[in-house]
Amino acid sequence: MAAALQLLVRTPETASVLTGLPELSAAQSGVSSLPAKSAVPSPDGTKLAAVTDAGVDIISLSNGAKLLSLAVPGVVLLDWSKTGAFLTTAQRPSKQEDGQPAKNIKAWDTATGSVVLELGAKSVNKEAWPLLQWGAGDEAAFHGVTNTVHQYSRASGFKTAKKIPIKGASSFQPCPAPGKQLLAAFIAEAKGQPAVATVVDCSGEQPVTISRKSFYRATGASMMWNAPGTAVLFMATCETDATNQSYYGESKLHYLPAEMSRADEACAVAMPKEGPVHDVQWSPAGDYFVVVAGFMPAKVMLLDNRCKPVYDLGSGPYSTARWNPFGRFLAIAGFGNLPGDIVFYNKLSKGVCKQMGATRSASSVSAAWSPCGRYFMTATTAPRLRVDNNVRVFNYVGDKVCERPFETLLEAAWLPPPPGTTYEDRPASPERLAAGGKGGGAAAAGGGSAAASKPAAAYRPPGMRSLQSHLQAGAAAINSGGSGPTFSLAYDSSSKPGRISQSTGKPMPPGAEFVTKAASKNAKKRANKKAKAGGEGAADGAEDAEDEPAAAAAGQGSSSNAAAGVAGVTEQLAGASVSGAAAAGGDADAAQKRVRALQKKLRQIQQLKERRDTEGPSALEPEQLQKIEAEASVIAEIEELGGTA
Amino acid sequence: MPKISFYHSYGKTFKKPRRPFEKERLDAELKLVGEYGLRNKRELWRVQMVLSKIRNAARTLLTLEEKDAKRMFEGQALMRRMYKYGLLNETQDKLDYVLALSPQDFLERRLQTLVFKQGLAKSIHHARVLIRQRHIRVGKQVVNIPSFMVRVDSQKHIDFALTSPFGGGRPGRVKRKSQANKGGGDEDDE
Repeated sequence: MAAALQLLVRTPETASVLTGLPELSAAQSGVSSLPAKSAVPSPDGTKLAAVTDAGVDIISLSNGAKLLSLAVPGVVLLDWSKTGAFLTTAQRPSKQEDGQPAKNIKAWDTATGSVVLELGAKSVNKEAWPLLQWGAGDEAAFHGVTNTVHQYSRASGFKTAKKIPIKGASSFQPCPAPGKQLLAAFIAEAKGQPAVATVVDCSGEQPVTISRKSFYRATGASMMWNAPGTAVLFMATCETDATNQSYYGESKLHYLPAEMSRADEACAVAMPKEGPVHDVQWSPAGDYFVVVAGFMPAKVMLLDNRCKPVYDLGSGPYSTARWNPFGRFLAIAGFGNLPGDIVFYNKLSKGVCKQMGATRSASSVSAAWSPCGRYFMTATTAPRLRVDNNVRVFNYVGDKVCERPFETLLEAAWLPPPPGTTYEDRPASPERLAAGGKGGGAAAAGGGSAAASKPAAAYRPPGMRSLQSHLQAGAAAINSGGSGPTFSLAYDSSSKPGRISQSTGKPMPPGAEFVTKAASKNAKKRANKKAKAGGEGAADGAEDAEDEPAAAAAGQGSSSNAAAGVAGVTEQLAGASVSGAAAAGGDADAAQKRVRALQKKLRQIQQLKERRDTEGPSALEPEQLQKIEAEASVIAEIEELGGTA
Repeated sequence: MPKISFYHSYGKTFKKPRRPFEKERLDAELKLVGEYGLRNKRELWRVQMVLSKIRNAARTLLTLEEKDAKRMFEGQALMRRMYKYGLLNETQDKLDYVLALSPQDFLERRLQTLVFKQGLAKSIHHARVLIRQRHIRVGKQVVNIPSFMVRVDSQKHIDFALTSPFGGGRPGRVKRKSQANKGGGDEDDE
């Protein structure tokens, strides 16, 4: 049974739960509102950790009762573990009497309220949080110190630490897939040595490097594992841009496989456009990832889990990408200093993406899909924007379902579904697609054609009127409907969304593929007709005889035919006839081939006979005379195989 | 009989400019040499000669009729080479685009530029040093030549060589020696 969707909103005074679309009213049962400086829900949807002055209260989300109260004054940061079994709190760093740093990082067991792990950290800041990383199923907690990663296992009660030596590791992330003890680690540049991104197997005594990639110009990296744990994406960033193109620094995306057998597939993800990587997101299923990269208008591409580009979603003013929890819908949006266009795509099988709708949510700061995967929420929140705080919810074709304004909104997020509710992964409904497409498409077209309508009457200086400039600007600018090449900073007129075709294996000799379209169409029509006729009757010796030398010529790949175009045409013919004959089955093919060869031999024998009759037996070689004598056996074999002599 | 080596055919790969001291040309060439880390003007003139030969070929083909057999065959072959080396992309499918190429397009496809652009080197000069010192491989082959024209298929496979200390091999000669000296010194101290 699908429960109603719940939204957690936090204002400076209270944190409250709103429920039910489209009305978004305060929740009646469970937690409705509580005074809290910070409220973080657990990933399994059962508990809520609220920070108060005295400490941290753990509240049950189902009935609002306070389960536990942890006495931790001055909590700065909070983090739940993956299953919600443990809670990590961080206090301000301070010194104890004996000079040692106080144990300000504490991991609590949320069932009992006792501390399971205590660590001291000299500095606590948001960029380096969480300091304690949890493995799959909370079986192990990982803590990084200089040159080592400490692994505390749950089975041992977090008492002993297994030391994993990784020299110079500045950041790491454990694999989220169960059963795999892998760590993705980033070693920063030091003393002329390049930075290294590596995947390490830490199950044995010594860590074993599975795959590794070195590069310069990277001061930090964030790592993204995919859900099944087969690959990691490293986004390496640098504060200064050595190419002097961007004031904000540069970022690069690297792909590392997590399997030893595929270790040489490690590569830099090649983006067709230069510029920083704005966003990378793995699909929750782990089979595709989407990259938004390049100077504005950024290019959006879908790649599969072996880092092969599959689909090009075009370019536009986009900076974020969000997958729905099932990996079925994809929302590409432009937040920050962009106007806030949102485009919704439906990812079909094999990676093809169809646009479902588009809308605009101006001045939004954060965005997320609902746990049911049908609604998309954008929020305008306070530290970034102090006016126009609101929460907007759209459905997957871009229609706005509801909007709720606030005086000051600090944070808005969906609550994870309570245990026991599962949402169905339903495809897009056809009626909704048909209805939404009209409304949403207008928004996108309006954005594009606003630029197109103006130049219809605009003056173009002589430098812009020439043919050369048409070529430079890309003749495809006409696609936006304008009368000539249009200029728009937001939309790149030469970008064409579509399937990215992989280059096929066999390379063609130069010039072999230039058969004109009309010629190849006619060849295909003829081949289809022949296949139909061949399928009805017996295999005709005459037409097979024509196809056989053609097939032989194409098989040799020879361009030694008179005009190279003939090679292309005959190859098309051979291809079409082979496909027509393929219906006959494998054995029948071999038999037909033998029959054809024998019929050719028979024809040659006839020719030799004619020569013998006209010129006399002495004109023929002894082997040729032998061939004539073998005529009877050839005829017998043809009859046996079922052909006609 | 003349010396056997006189039978080797060879030709010049660069053309010196007609006017030696033209201010605009000198400025433009210096800018390119600095931007792409070339060793001398001859490397730039070499690229300009390659470009001019390709442009001549495209120009003569464009004077033929549209469906002429030679134009179709050689035109396709020329376009295929442009796509293979990344000088044109798949959307630019007319011979006219070949006439719009510039030396910068060729210079962008050198291994030295790509090693720098992909972040394997700190600067364009560092890239040249790394290539020359055999730290860079394309696919499985260690490439020692900064002016190697990288194909589009090979671009993904530019990485540090496996035997290089940056790519996971053993440390270089100097480091090994200093480590041995340090180790020997510690033993002596003991």
